[in-house]
Amino acid sequence: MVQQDPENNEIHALFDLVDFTDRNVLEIGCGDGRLTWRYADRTAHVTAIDPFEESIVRALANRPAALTDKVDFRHLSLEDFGPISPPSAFDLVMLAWSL
Amino acid sequence: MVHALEQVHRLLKPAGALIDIHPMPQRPHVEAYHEGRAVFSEPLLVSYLEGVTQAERALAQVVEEGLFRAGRKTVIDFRHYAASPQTLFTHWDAIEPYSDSPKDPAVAASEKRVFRRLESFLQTYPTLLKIAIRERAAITCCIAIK
Repeated sequence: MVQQDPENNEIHALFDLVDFTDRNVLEIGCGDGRLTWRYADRTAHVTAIDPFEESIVRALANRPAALTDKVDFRHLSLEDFGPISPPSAFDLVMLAWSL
Repeated sequence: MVHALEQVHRLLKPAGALIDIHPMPQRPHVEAYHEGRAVFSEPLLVSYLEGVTQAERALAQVVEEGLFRAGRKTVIDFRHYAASPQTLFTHWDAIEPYSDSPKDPAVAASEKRVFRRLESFLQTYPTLLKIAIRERAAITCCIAIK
């Protein structure tokens, strides 16, 4: 088993940089939701996309019940998601190790 | 990459925030720690450094074009811990080079050498050590201008 950032350096830095409270968030490159779970409870809603189906399957399997209505995982790349999303839809867009 | 950032700009509300997390353009290290201090530290050859440089250029370009205003930036150490070198190696092999393209054979060979040296080091060290790959990452905040 691998533990990634158990010191929480990443999420502490994120919370220091930006306020997630009641924000509508798009996370691009969400992977298995590792980072999503650490901030989603503060937001209004999270749309989390990833081009790798296997990652989305893992994210859905790991999704805490309390966040079911709050986090929407989609198996899509930004290239595919962008054109079908309305403009100015998000308060915050996060490129998570994916640019 | 610039096109992706332009797409992000379209999706953001005015004054919305773009947060970008990416590794710094420097090599990650395989490390072993004893009481919080690195007693083994060797750099890994990686294939993503050019991509990181391109990402930083793309961010600078969309700021220059007036789509975003540069905000704060912070740098963190991000560690991947595992119980054994083999587990760490398998994990790293799966995530590097952060894309679906095959790994450069020279990078793969270099990784194997570093992990073998880590295994040898652990066998000679008198106590159990925590082991990790440490990446330095930048987290940048840019604000959409509309």
